[in-house]
Amino acid sequence: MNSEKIHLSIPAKLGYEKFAMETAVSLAALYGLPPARFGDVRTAISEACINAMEHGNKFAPGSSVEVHMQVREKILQFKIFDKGKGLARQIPKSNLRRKLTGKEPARGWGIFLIEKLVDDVNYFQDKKGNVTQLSFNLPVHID
Amino acid sequence: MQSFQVNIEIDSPGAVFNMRGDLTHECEKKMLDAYEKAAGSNVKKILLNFSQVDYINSAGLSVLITMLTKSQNAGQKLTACGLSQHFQKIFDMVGLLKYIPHFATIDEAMQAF
Repeated sequence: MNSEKIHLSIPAKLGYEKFAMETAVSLAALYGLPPARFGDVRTAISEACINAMEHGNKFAPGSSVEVHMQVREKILQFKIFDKGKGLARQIPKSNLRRKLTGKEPARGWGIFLIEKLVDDVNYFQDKKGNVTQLSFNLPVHID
Repeated sequence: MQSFQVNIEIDSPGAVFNMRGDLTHECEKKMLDAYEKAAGSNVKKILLNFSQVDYINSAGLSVLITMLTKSQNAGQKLTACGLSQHFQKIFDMVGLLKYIPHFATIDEAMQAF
């Protein structure tokens, strides 16, 4: 069961990630992702788009972040494209105790949340730019 | 984007922060101003009412962490109510529920206040 591709282009401006979130949840609902996971989709897409806007495109005026959505072989897949060079190889793990004691900034939960909420995440470069690929497994129904 | 509003009810030594809208980077000044106002009234307990907040992102979490740090340093206790199941899950993942106990309703939270 494969879906048609959906391509969104959103301005690299905070707030526009909500368009991607809601489109992603509509696709998830259409292809049977359990409603209990809709929040996971919303948060993961939101954080990936915000990272792309901020760290990839540096909020450059007029620039955009592309979000491609598709269901392939029972996997709900989202690719978020930005103009950056990708993540540093070592991403420090966010730690609340360190943040509360001022040893690291209060910010920096995006990657932590994405990696906790999705079934698979990959970061890579392709000809369109830097890609964050998020995957959610759809339930398999046995008749 | 839903603009963020916070209305505070101070009844020293407690205060209730009734939030409405999206908890994002844009709420930082309003939340920290509200916190300073409550702290200036010698408040020792703050209840964060999330029942009218339906979007919280990582920048919103960082605002809460900044507020939690300030309240811990000042010996104040933070509690929360009205978080959706998804945001209870997020708060648990991040570790915030260890520091900010959550109650389902404002009435339950007020009884424990």
